[in-house]
Order: sequence, then C-alpha cells, then structure tokens
Amino acid sequence: MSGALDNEMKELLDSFLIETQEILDTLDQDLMQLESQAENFDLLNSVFRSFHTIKGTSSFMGFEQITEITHHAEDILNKLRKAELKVNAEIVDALLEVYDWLKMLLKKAQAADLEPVDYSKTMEKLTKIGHPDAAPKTATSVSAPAAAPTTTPAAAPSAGSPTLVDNILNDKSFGTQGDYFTDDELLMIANAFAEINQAMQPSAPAAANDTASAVVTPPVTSAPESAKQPEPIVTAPASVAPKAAEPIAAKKAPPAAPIAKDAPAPDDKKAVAAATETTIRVDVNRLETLMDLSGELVLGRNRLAQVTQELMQRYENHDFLRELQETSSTIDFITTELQSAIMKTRMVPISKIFQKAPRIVRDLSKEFGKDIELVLRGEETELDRGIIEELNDPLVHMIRNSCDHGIEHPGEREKTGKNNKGTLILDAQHEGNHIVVSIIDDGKGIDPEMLKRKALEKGLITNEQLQTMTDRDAFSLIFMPGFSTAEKVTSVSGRGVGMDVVRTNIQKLKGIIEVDSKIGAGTTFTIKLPLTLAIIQGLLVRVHSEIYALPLSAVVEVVNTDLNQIYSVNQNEVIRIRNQVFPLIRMDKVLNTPVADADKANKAPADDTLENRYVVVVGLADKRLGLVVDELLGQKEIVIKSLGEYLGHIRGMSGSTILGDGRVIMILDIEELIQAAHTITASVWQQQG
Amino acid sequence: MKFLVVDDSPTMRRIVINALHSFGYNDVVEASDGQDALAILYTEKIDFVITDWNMPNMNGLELTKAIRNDATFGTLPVLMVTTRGIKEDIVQALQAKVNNYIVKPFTPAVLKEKIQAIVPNA
Repeated sequence: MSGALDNEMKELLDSFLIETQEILDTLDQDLMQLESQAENFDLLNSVFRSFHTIKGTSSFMGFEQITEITHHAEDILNKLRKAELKVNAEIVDALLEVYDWLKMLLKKAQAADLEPVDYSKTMEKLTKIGHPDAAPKTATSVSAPAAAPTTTPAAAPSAGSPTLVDNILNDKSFGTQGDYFTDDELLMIANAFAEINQAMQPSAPAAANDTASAVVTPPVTSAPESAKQPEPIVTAPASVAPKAAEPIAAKKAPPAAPIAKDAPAPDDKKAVAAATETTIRVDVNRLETLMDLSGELVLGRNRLAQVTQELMQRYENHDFLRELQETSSTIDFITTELQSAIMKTRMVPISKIFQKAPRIVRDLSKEFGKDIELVLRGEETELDRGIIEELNDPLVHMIRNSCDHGIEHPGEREKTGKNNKGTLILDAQHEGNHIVVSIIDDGKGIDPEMLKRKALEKGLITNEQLQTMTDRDAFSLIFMPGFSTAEKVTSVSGRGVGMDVVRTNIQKLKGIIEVDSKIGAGTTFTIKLPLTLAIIQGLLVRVHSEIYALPLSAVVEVVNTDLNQIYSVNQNEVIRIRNQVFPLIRMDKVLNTPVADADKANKAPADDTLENRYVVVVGLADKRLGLVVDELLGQKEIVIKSLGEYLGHIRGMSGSTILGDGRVIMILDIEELIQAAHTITASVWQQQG
Repeated sequence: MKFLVVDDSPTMRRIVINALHSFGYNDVVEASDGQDALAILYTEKIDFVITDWNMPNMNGLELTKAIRNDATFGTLPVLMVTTRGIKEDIVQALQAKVNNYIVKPFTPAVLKEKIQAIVPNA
C-alpha cells in the first residue's frame, strides 16, 4: 500500500519536475519579450499563468520556497494585468531573478536537496515593486455593513429579489479590507455558494418541482429549440431583464438564453481536444533501442541488396529473382524511411538552445553598456538531442564572447561610422546531412597580427612558425588552451579557457569549426555538425588493399594531388591548397597496409610518389589534415559499430562497420589521426598544449 | 459519477485525479483547458466538473459561464480550484455560479468535503 503511494508520489514529482522545467524553458523568453511588448496582454497572461501554475503545483509538492517566490512574482503580474503597475526594466529584472531562483530551486528539487536558499534580496525587490508605498496592512475592518444582508441559505431566492450573490456584488465595501476576506465575508461567500448549490441541486429533473426555487418557469420554450432561437428569450421578470444574457442560476429551468451551443463548431472543439494528445513523453532509452535496431536493420538491408544483386547477375532474367529484387527494393525503401522516421523522434529544434540567447544577450548588453540586437534564424532546424546537449555550452560561450569581445561599445562604434547598435546573428540551417550553425557579429573583428603577437609572447608558437602562418591559421590560435585575447579579464569571458572548451566539445561531436573575421567588420564562427552520431554518411577509400571509411562530415574536400603543391617543412610533408597549408599524412605508411596485388601488377605508383593518388582533406573543429589515399570508392551510409571489448581501443580507428558484401571495414578516427599528424609533423602549427 | 478535471497543468490534473481515485471515483476524464472541456461535455455525459481558474484559450470562469448557458448541462456542478488571496476572483466565481471553490493547496479530505457538499449522496 505504502509502496503504491510512494510510486504515486514519485510519479507526481516527476510530472512536476518535467512540467516546471517546460514552463521555465519558455518563461525566460516570454519575460524578455515582455520588456519590449509591454502592451501585449496575451503575453502578460501567459507569463502570469506560468508563475501561477508553478505556484499551484509546487504548493502541493511541498516546495515552499518555490511557492513563496512565485507567489510574489504572481502578485506583481496580477498588478500588471490590472494595469496597477506598468512593465519596466526593473520589473522584468526582478522577474528574471525569480526565474533564476526557480531554475536553481528546481535543480535542488531534482537532487532532493531541501536546503533552503537565501533569496531575500529578490524578495525585497519584489515587495518594493508590488507595494511601493509599503502600506502596512490595516485591519480596521468595519465589517458591520457586510454582515447585514446575510440571509440564511435555506431561504431560497426568488428571481425577483436580490440573491445573496447580488448582495455581495452590490456591497461596495465587500472584500476591500486587507489581503484576505474577513470572517463575515467568508460566511457570506459560503452562504452564497450554498444558495447556488440549492438552486442547482441535480436531484430534481423537472423544472418546477421545487417550490422554493421554482418561482419562475419559462412560459413555453423548451430548451433544445430555444438554443436555435435568434432572439434572446427573456424568461425572467422585467426586474432582472438587464441580466438576461447571463441566466441567474436561481432559475431552475433550463437556461433559455440563446448562447448557442454550437458557437464554436463542435468539430473545432474535437480538433482542439485531439490536438492536446498529439504528444507523449517517451523514455530516451527506448528511443536509443529503436535507433540501435534500425541501425541493425540498415546493415541487414545492405546485405540483402548485395546478395540480390549477385543472384541477379548469376541467374539473369529469372522471374523469381525479379520478385526478390522488387521485395528487396521495397525493403530498401521502407528501411530508409523507417530509419529517418526513428531519427526524427530524437530530433529537437535548435530553438532549445537559441531561446537562451535573448536572456544572455540582454544581461550582457546591460553589464557592458552595449546595445546589441540579437537576430535568430533557422530556430526550427532540428538535430539529434544528444548533439543539442553537447552544443549548448560552446554556443553559450561563443555568444558571450561575441558580446564581450566582438561587439564594441556604442561610442566606439559611432567613431568608426557604424550603427550604434551592434548585431549578433545566430543562424542554423541544414546542409545535406549536416547542420551548420553560425554565430555572426558585426563587431570589431579579430586582428590576426595581434593574435600572432600574443601567441608568441605566451610562447605558444615560435618565431619561425609565425612567419609561415596565414591569417586563417592565426584565427585558429584562439582555440589554443591558455590563449586569451581579452585585454582584461571579465566575469564573462577572457579567462582563457573558453574557446579551448568550445573546440573540445565540437570535437566530441565530430564537428568542424571555422573562424572568419575582418578587422572592423566583424567575426563569423561556423560550426558544422553531423545530424546524428549513430548512422553516418561515410566516404569509402582504398589504401593499398584495404578499404576504410571516413565520416563524410569530416571531409572538407578531395583533391587530385599536384606534386607542385607538396612541400616539406622540417622534413614533414605539407600540402598547399589555395593558399592554405595542411599537414599531409600518407595513410599507407601510417596504417602499414600491404600493397594491393593490382597495384603491384600494373600502374602501381612507387611508394614515394603521389601520382594518381588523392588527398582527402579532413577536418575536426579548427584543424585540417590531408590524407593520401589510393582510390575513392564512393559514399555509403554506414552504421557505426564499436570494436568490442576484446579489441578495445585501436589507435586511429573509431569503430567498424559492415559493408553490404559482408566485409568488415574500419572507420578512421579523424581526431586521432589529426593528433598523430601533429606529433609527427610537429610543425606548421603545434596545437597540443 | 463521472468527473471532468480541467487544468492546463498535467501535474495538477494528476493531483486531483489521484485524490478522486482514492475516494473511489474512478470514472474521470481530463481536459487541458476550457475549450477542450466543452468539447468533452458535448460528447460525453459528465456529472461533475472540477476546473482550474487560470488556463489558456478558455479559462475556468469562461468555462463555467459557458456551462451555465448551455441548455443540456446548465446545472452541472462546477467546483473551481483557485489560489488564495485573489479576492475579486472569488466574487467573480460566485457571479459565474460556480458551486464552490477550493483553495490550492488542498488536502484530499477537503476536496472530498467540497464534492459532498455539492452532491451529498455522491
């Protein structure tokens, strides 16, 4: 029994935590909008409702602090709704503070940490806003007039005489004393409710049974027809006529007022009812299982297609085989659809992160005295929830950076002939199987020379390296651990850890980050990420006799090698492509692959030449690397399989996959290759801190 | 007795429904706002409505008014869930002819008491 209760409690708590989190997710955005749209009553109501709901549910859950602080916030919103207060920055600030506290309290609730927090400062602010005159609550209740009209509830009202409700409504002093009802008032309310109940006792099916309340009976109209009558039928005596549109409950008869039952079409309502049930919560683990299974299905599908193909070749034009082929292609199609459908269940719009930006930008603009306009684009772009979670911190950090270092103070901007108001754009869009997120500011830009100087000062690069460094390479310096360009360290950024962390996170996501900047014109950070981490598009390459897969998301470009563009720096090969220099590694040497028979036999290139080979330029975060391969075999959807415990971790390999013909091939680990390249080449740029 | 619990907060609905279940009222449907509730009222026979006040689209007060103005279920018992301290709200609730109100947070016992005050033989 108590077990069942505990379960119930746990369920309630979960429900509360999820719901409150969801409310908070939209609340801060609503609050920000409120500042600029003070007249938007719907928005105000929505904010009010958010606090109201949290207050209500938290009071049941016993989270007293949440209840208390939301109660005060709700108070202010109620005053705003009643136009007793006007929205201003001070109020929004205070409400945002409440939001912050709620976030923290919710986290504590989640962790079952019941230690109270000290939010007295915020409470003071709220109280000051809500009661500017700080008028003490006067209890000088003159309750006499209120008590007077109280009649016994049993005395049923007639339609002609005022009801107890009317008495209350007509009593101008009712409810004007203090914050709470007086005892007399409470009694009046209770009596009024009793009166309403009496009048509506469902026990009497016919209209005129109850002598006490059946004073008025509608003359003729029967209810169902009356609903269609175009004119209001006033069934009440003249004295109540003005109120006819709102039938007095004292009238026992079915209300005859013409409020048509079909005012909003019933169909619409069904649609509304249905709409509320289009989402359900699903445990993420179940989605993961689905994802895994669909991955297996993709492998099976590939195998099936391959076998069918081979059979077709062997027994041409066999009717039976044609059927097999048709079935196989149907399965092929369905698998692809199924896989993308399952993938979509894990997709979340990037607005989940983007919506945090307005608050951050607002707070920072205030802190730095800057004027920054935030533009969000492509918020609806969806990507895997796992990626979203990992992307959050880097993105937040970069937004902070742009506000702090990127965009200048209004005065500074004016001097350079710019608009006082800086612009920060967050943009997300799909590009094939990737998502590209850009953070674009129109600030002062990054000075590559300054970066180089700084890196030299800190001993992060050598004078020699500095000479060969392109602007692009210089921009990448900001990702080095221990590198900070901020003139002074602020609370926001400039602690020299930020961009390094950004790079690490992007790397974890197998993403690419690029910096582009123009002095005086602004900086653009571009992050390119795979849509999902479980099934990827792979580029199959041959290195001697072995086939390897490279995650296509990491492939920047493929070039036919041009011997003229290969240089040696410190005895290490680098390739120059359009003025960019990349370290080069020959895969055959690194992997020590046996030379393919075919290559030995004919046009096999001598090991040391690069003729007839390809260089695949791969990238991870800010780093690039050229891989020399023998042949490109095309693009394939591959399911990443871990190598299993007995193989453990193999350097340079991130996993394996099974091809349609059953062959197991390795997936190259770009991150490790790049690291290896940097330890081997030890030049061009040395980024290992 | 079939109950309709109207609240935009799933947690609140759960709280009320759990309490109703504990009294042995197992026939409960739920709606997330007034519009949703009306749609249900048009299609199902409901004996008792417990509604929150503040909801999007159509709030509890508007819902109560719509119920009172309906020919078929105009006398349906409506119990309004409110929060403390908003006095004019209660006066409005009276005006809209709710059968009673209950203040959050309430205990199951109080809920039961309020229901039985409205429908004594429930």
